[in-house]
Amino acid sequence: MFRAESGRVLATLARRLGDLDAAEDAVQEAFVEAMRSWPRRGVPDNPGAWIMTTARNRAHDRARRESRRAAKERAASTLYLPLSALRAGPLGPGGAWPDPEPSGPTDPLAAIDPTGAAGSVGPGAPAPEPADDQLRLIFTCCHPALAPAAQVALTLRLVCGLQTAEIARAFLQAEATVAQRLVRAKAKIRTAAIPFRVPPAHLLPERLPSVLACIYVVFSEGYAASAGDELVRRGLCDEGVRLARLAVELMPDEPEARGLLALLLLQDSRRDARLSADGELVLLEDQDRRRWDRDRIAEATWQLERALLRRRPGPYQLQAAIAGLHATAASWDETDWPQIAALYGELARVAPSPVVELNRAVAVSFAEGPAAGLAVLDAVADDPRLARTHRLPATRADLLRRVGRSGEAADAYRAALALAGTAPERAFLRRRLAEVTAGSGDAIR
Amino acid sequence: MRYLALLGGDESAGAAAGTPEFDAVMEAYMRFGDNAGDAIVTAEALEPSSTATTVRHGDFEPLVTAGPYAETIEVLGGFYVLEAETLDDAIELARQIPAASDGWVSLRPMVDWFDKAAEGAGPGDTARYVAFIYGKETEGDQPGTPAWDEGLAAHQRFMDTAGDAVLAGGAIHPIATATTVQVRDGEVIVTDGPYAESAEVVGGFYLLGAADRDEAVALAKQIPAEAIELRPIMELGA
Repeated sequence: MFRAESGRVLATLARRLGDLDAAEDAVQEAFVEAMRSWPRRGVPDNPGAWIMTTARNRAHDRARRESRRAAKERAASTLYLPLSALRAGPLGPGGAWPDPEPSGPTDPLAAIDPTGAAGSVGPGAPAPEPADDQLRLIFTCCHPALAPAAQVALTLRLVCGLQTAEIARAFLQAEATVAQRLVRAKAKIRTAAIPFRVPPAHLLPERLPSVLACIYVVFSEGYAASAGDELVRRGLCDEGVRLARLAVELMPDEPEARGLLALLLLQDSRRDARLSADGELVLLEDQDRRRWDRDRIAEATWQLERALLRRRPGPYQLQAAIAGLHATAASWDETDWPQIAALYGELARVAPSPVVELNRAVAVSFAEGPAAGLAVLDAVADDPRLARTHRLPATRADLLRRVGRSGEAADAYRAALALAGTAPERAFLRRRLAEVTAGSGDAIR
Repeated sequence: MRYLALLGGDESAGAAAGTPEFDAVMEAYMRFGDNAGDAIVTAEALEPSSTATTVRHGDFEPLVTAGPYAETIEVLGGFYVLEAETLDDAIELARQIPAASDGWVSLRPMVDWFDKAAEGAGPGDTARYVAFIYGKETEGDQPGTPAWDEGLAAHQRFMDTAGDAVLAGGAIHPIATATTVQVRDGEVIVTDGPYAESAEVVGGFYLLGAADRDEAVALAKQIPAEAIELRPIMELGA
């Protein structure tokens, strides 16, 4: 509850104050105060409203202190953002404050309704719902003028309420690195005046992808079977699904947001089945389908159907449709491969990439036979973007094995082993190499 | 909020003055000027980078060399000072600049900007040069630091000395606040950072009035910065 609440309160305060740092400090102080007072006095009836009120008061106190200290620097008071540009000069450490009028009708804090329900900003102006504030916050964190790594860190910190140390652990980076990234990103938001708003409709098509991509990265970082604390990774998957859910809630008319949620739910439904007891990667083909989370699959299917109704397919909906066909197939052999191959073809059309071609080759190999799959693969064999991934030689090796060209398959498995990163992947490739070289006399090589 | 929009691209791919292609490019810029209206605070096109002169301050006498500060294929061809409420509004303007489609536009938030012509000073009967400040970014490029204040005082001394020769100028925020805007196949591509970190303007620029290149170089030598690239302004109104 804490995390979800902190993102909500932060989003509203940030809009009111026009400053992320100030909002963050106030929310932090409110939670510290909650830790101190709730155990003694009991949890209030409406904890969210309590946090909002306390954070607002803390922000107010600080504003008063700051405005006394920096009265000279005061820029014109403003109710809304741009987040920065309120001061001509830059802001020193901790000095990030838009200098609201100390009191009176223009006090940006006065109108915050602690219940989170709509209040009024000024005469006749209805206050935006807190959900809108969260959407604004997400779009600010995922602004394309911020580096992708900074977008992810900011989203986890501000929207999900993760601590800097938690983000560092999840991405296997030094805490100082993540802290520095956050400081720089917030400085850019302030200095370059990245707005705190949902882009207007005509800009949404070009701005939504970076938001969805950021959510996807949060999830896949947790999902990837590479090194790292399993619990932390699971937490990232959960945050990814939560963010995707939030995106759907906030933008119910965007089919790609729904497509992303469906995709993440479908991948997540296989989380328990994709690693064996001793931590080895289990291929989709060999997974125990009884361990797939049927509730998640059902929810994903429902979300995907709603998305597809809008008839605006995009990369996330197509990937979800592919994952959905896998999830609903009774067995590997009963999978609708021709349909999957066709969907990959469509995906290659709307979002061309050599990785999509790689996956299409696999689907075609099951729909039309391994030789047809090899033909698709040959077309991308020289793509420099695939030069450093083990997946090209690994896929090739598998197709060669299936057409019975064991010698070439063994060579390809060796090439894949030289590139493979994680222990489970390497173990799998070694097993396959042993299979194709067994009894062929080739093993001695 | 003011943004310095630096326009860059591959100069060799550009059209030469006097050709129909050049006129078409000029027309595209005129259209942008009409659309953007008051959002354009100032706009200048630069003579080719082959006309550039670079002044580097060393331990002894400043070193003057022909050519731009960084020998790159992609060079600056002009700049705008834009007035926009937020970065999104600045990006909306930048995407319409023709250079965004065949090169790039780097948006740099400005710390301040002054223009003596706008303040009533008449244009002198001189050639105009822009002096871009280059070099390694230091603490002095971070507004609000004591080092920045020292730099500011040094620049004030330069302006006092140079007097009417300084026509306009502006200080910009550090490179970390830069945003690059490009348009490819009708789609706008926005990225964090400058187009090329090693060849990016640092600190700001001056617009100088000088009788000739030698006079401009003499002025540039007095600018308190690691390196200055002088570029003659292309006088389009003439």
